[in-house]
Amino acid sequence: MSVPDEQLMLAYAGGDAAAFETLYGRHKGGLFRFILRSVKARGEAEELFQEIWIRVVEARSRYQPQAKFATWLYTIAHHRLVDHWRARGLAVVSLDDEDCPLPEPAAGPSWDPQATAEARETLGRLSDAIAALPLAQREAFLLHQEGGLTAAEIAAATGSNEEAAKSRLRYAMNKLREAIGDE
Amino acid sequence: MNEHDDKLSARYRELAREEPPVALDAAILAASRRALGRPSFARRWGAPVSIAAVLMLAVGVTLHMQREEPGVETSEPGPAPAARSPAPIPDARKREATRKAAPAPSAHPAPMPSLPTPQPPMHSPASPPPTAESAAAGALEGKPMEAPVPAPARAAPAAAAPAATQSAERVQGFAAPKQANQESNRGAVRAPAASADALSQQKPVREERKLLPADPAAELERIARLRDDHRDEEADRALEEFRHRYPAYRIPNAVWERVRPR
Repeated sequence: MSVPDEQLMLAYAGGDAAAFETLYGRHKGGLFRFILRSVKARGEAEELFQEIWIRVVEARSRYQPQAKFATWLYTIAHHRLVDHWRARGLAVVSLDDEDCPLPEPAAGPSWDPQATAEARETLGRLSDAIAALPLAQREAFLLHQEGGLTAAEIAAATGSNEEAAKSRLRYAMNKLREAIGDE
Repeated sequence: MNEHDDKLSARYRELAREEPPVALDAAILAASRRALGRPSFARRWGAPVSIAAVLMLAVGVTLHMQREEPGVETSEPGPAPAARSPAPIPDARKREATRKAAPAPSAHPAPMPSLPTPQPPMHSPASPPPTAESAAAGALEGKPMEAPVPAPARAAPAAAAPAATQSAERVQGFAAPKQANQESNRGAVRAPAASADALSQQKPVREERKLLPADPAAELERIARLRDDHRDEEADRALEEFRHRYPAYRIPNAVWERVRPR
């Protein structure tokens, strides 16, 4: 049975570098995709990704396992993203605006070269639809998919209430299902 | 999750599974190892600050005791131990003021300098001077505490013993006498070491946090003042530092408008 994330983080705070490597290995992919699909520019995503992990490293001695490690990690990521959007003139209000259009078109992630053309098309639609989601809905969806967070944990990570998080997640999923023709 | 959600999740998982570049992995892991080699601020400075605090306290207590000695030694030994009542004394500063303002119950007829502060009502003029250790600890703790009760026998031999011996003895007594003192001493010594970490944890206010001057809101206010003063570079650095120290702190919009990079 694998060691829980929270214990790994405590072990790292206690000086165990290998614990951090395990923790990093578990969460790097999800966190990276969460950021990449939020900001869409790979260079910015990499920069933010590094900053977030550095903050985790620096906050190690203050870490208290009061919630899931993933919730804590994605809370840090959320705050960093909010700062990022704010610095680019995107008010946080737009985070909560369910119908706010996105400020820029989706660049889209790179595609799996092995996929069939039809599947690529569907996935392309899905990717575009994710990129076209309002910020708050997209964030809720990505936190759910990449971070494995529940609605309550999404609410905790984003500083909203559970009902709002549930609502955002539901709206996002409905739109994405519609986009891939799975209604 | 219902069936629709499962399908959507499955589709989503078919999207490219981007990973961070290997070089970035290496940089982050190297930073994580370096950080362990370089202890955090609290760990790095905790022990030296604690030692310095203890030393300063000990020196302060010793000097205070030495200043006090003539009064204690030349006074009549009888009333002094008797007057050292174990009753709680509310404030070390008040006691200090009282000690200076009130005529000591000794044979010293020298006129005391008049103080502008009124005499605290809690003390009778017959109150003995407070012990230095209680005054020092109380002042650091910033809250009322009980006066320590030294052994009555200590006052009498103290008159005959050399001053240095007495001071050492009292410093030892400082560490021992009562639970309340031990608690307050620990708090006083621990507080500086705990400063960096205690602030960012959004936990119930602990005793040492009362001693800490900064909190996230105060820090943000400081950054806002820097912005107001057009010291943007400093403000940028402070904001960056703030984000490092309080990564999970949610900055209210109104505050953000005041502190955001210009």
